[in-house]
Amino acid sequence: MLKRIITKSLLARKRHLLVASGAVLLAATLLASLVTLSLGMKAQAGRALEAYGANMVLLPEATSLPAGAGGLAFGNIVSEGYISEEYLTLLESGQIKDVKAYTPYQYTVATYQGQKVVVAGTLFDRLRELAPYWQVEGEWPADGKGTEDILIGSKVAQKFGLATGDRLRLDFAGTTRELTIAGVADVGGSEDNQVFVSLGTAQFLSGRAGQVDMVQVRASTENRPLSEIAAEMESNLRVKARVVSQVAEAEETVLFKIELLMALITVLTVLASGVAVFSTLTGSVLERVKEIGLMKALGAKNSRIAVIFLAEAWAIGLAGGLLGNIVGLGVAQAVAKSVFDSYLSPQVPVIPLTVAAALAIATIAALGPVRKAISVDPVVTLRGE
Amino acid sequence: MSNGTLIDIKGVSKFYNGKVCALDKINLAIGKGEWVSIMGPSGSGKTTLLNIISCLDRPSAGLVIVGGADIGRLDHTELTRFRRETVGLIFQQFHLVPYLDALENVMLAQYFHSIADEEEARQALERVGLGDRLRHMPSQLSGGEQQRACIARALINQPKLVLADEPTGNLDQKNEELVMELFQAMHREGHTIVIVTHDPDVGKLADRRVYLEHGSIRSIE
Repeated sequence: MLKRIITKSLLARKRHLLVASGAVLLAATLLASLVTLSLGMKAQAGRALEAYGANMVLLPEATSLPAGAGGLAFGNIVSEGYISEEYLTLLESGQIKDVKAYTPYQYTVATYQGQKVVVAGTLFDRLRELAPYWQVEGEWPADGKGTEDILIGSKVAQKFGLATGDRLRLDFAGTTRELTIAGVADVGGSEDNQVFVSLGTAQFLSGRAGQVDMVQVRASTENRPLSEIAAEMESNLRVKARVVSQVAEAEETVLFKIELLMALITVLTVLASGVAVFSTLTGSVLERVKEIGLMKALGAKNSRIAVIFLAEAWAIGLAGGLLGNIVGLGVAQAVAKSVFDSYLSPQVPVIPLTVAAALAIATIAALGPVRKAISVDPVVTLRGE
Repeated sequence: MSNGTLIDIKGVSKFYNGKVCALDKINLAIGKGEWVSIMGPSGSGKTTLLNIISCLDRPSAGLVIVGGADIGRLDHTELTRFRRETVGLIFQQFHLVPYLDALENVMLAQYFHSIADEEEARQALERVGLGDRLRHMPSQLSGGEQQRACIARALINQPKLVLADEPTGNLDQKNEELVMELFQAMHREGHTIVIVTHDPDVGKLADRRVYLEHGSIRSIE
């Protein structure tokens, strides 16, 4: 009988049902889309920010290096120290979590046409993965000790009139080596003034095998802040880990602001929909005072009257919540497509979460109207008004 | 028809806002199976008295005993249960739930009493001549039919006491006769009936007529 009462009552007041369900639908849509986006977007935003390169630099206790990442220069630091290549296996093995990519550098100075140039030995495959924003004209050289292919910075190319395919005779403290320019890199930073050779070649020419001067690291901030990862690096690798503050802060700030904005919009929407459901249900109670009075005159317990109105609220919440899930997922996918140019995988916990939230909104919003319904005086039913 | 007292009203007064006196020291005993009409001009306190007997309202002073229970001592929950189990109410305005059909309106009283039984509700409507109107909505029923559905609803839980407030007030002559025939049948079946009415023709069908004036009993015939 309760089912009949609720179904027929809702059908008899379709406009109320649509208004109230619409309000819940709006909140559930936003909630579903925001939670889906929040869960999926952290990873997406993290991936998008990865394009900006390293967000951490590992150095020996102190060193003198023209260190930098992209357009971000850290200045020069003087020291005789080095990082043992052995420690890098810890980054490789996943023992230090959240490391997405890294590349080591060994720096040396060579002479070309009587002028000194900074030569950086690195692992090209790793560099390519770490710094996808590098614009290379020509080819990326292959890694390996014996390779003669190198990459030169755009300013070096400009200064000496060099181009892809040219041969370059570099003098390394008495040892001359002829190398082939595979590509010219335009980075927009200190790298444009450097020559890049494979790490093995650099180590061979400098006579410092197994040593690196700097490691650029790209760590994920999805699970923990960079400062925490840096501290772990320092204690395990015997290095000085420096966070590239501009990138890291930008990343953390952007993600935090996105989440804050989402939370704010969700709270406001939930409040607004709660108010809409409250006013709709209150209107419904006021319209049905005589009906409620009749029910009480017939001997209905307060609990049965409460259940009738709560069940109506739950029906509204359920309808709004389920529809909101569908619409919300669509909205989230549309946003993801337009912002990240990719779709988000559906987040299963969003469905029960949204339905539960919609039911909670409806229940809380119904408490006032239910109290009003219970307080109706049955004597009104006997008045011939 | 009286066979012992069902309702015993002793010195009952009712004041609204502490000042307006709707009932003034009423004393009245109604026997089991008796049919009593409460009559009098508007504002004489008829409906107030009916509300108190039906446990919808409480007296400001005095004692109301229905079926041995002092209803002045019952709390809200007990009053609701008492009303559910003891009283059948019939209204001038019928008060059928507009979105439920005739059958469901009768089942509503069953649902609040205990368990809704469609077959029993159908039989109750057949008894009042609405066997072919079971699935009609209140808006599809005439005034007389709505009142008969209201009577079926009032009787479905076999109440000891049937209370009616101007049951023919909104009916034409033909429907008034049909409805009053149902009251006579109820009376023959042994129901105790209290009717508030302005209509002398309705009033004269009762065993006794209680005339109220300014909240007091002017006479009992």
